Amino acid sequence: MLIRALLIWLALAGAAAAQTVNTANSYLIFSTQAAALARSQTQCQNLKCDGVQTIYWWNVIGPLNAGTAGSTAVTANSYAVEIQPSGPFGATTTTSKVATPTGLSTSEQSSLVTGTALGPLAPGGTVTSGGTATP
Amino acid sequence: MWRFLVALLLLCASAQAQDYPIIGGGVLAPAATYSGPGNVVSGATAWYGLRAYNAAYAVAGSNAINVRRASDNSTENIAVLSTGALNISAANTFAGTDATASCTFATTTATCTGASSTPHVGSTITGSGVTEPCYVTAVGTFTGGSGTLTVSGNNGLSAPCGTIASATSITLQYGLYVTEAYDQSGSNACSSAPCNASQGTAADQPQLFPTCINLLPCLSGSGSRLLISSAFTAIATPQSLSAVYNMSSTAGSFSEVIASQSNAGVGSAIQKDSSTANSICVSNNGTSTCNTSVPDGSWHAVQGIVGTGSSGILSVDGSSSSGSVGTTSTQTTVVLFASTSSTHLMTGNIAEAGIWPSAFSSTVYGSGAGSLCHNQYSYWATSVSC
Repeated sequence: MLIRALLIWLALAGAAAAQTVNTANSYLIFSTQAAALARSQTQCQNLKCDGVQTIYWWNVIGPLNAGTAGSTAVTANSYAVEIQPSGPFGATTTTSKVATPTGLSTSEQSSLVTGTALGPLAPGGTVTSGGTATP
Repeated sequence: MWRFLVALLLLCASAQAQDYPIIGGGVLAPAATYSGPGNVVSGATAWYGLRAYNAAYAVAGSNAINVRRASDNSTENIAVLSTGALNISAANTFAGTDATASCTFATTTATCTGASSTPHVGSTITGSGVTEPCYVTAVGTFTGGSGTLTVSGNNGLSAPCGTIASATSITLQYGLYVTEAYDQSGSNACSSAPCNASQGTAADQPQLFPTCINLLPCLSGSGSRLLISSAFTAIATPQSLSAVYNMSSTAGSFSEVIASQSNAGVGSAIQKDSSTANSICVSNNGTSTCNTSVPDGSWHAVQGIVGTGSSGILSVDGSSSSGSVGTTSTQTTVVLFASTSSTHLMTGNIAEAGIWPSAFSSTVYGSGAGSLCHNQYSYWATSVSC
């Protein structure tokens, strides 16, 4: 119960805290924080997370500012699921308990925006020479 | 008379045996009693570590961390042993073997042959001659058991796993990621419960390196991972912080080892305050006192006292200095590897960290017997004796 309360608090706190965009990552944009968290949670469920200690698979950042990330229109207060480029947290993550690769759908993969494109829309963010967006 | 003499001899032998138990011709040494940070100074608000907080916690064999294994995302609690050490054998068994191979190492690349299967990102590497910690950050294409791995130790070293020109046999163990570090302090400062620090998002969970600091384990952050506690009632000031850490030379400005603060605010912290290499600071409410001669990429025992205005203390490996630190701040959580849920993320490794709601005495923050530094150096073998 305590852990669940903490995770809910974490999710809510994420909305208020400054967020960082890493240009090495890709981002899948959702219109609400709940939708982004749900997608992250679905991935965790697909990969057999226990749902108690580990609930979400990908990090979620936001709220985003309105604008255009690449060719994708972003509305104010949208949120983004952060996809690392490879490894155990990548878009096509698989584990020994999953018979077939489980990750982003083809449609979702085609909807990914780059960190560089999304950086200016991060909460109060601007892309620095180091490639990250900070408030 | 004869019977009396025999009885007297037996009585003497019995008495001697009670005072000086003899087995195999030697005198039994008293059993060593584990002494942890909580035995040096009790009353921490929250304390996390890969050993026991105190002797009582060790005797109880209570849990130190909960880990998720990369192979199937199942989780398990890992406890401490009566020796005070983390039961790393249980963690290793739970993790399981990813692959074996024969590899050479140069800078951040391992070139392997004879791999039993294609290794996975996050797997930790052990083998003769391999510098620890060592883990896989990327996997190249493996064909017929041959391929390359990109490796790191999250310590900024140019050859993190060492340079090995003649192939050595290695074992890759599936990565373990810490979902929760249990508050061992016993203070129950978070709504009458322990201030456990957790992370429910897999991508943000610090990794457990089974072999890290002198064959002992550590928690590792790669600049995107952190643990955050549940909320506690505001901590009284002054406060003291303690940590055993290894900051990567690649760590950026405001890299936090441990921070106690509100989600958006600035509270008490042990942190790299700027991009200055080889520096560590103790900070409160935005005012810091720093030491700029603390080598990155090596292990240090650091203590800090904050909330005392101009008389703050920073003690690094037993060497103390005083300086101005802040006096007030709103604090509701303890965070490891960051200052909030998303900022000031540290690249580096942590063995233990905690916060106390009082100022350490000079005996505790200094060096020598009775100091936290000495206790930490004695256990972890940090870089400088104290």
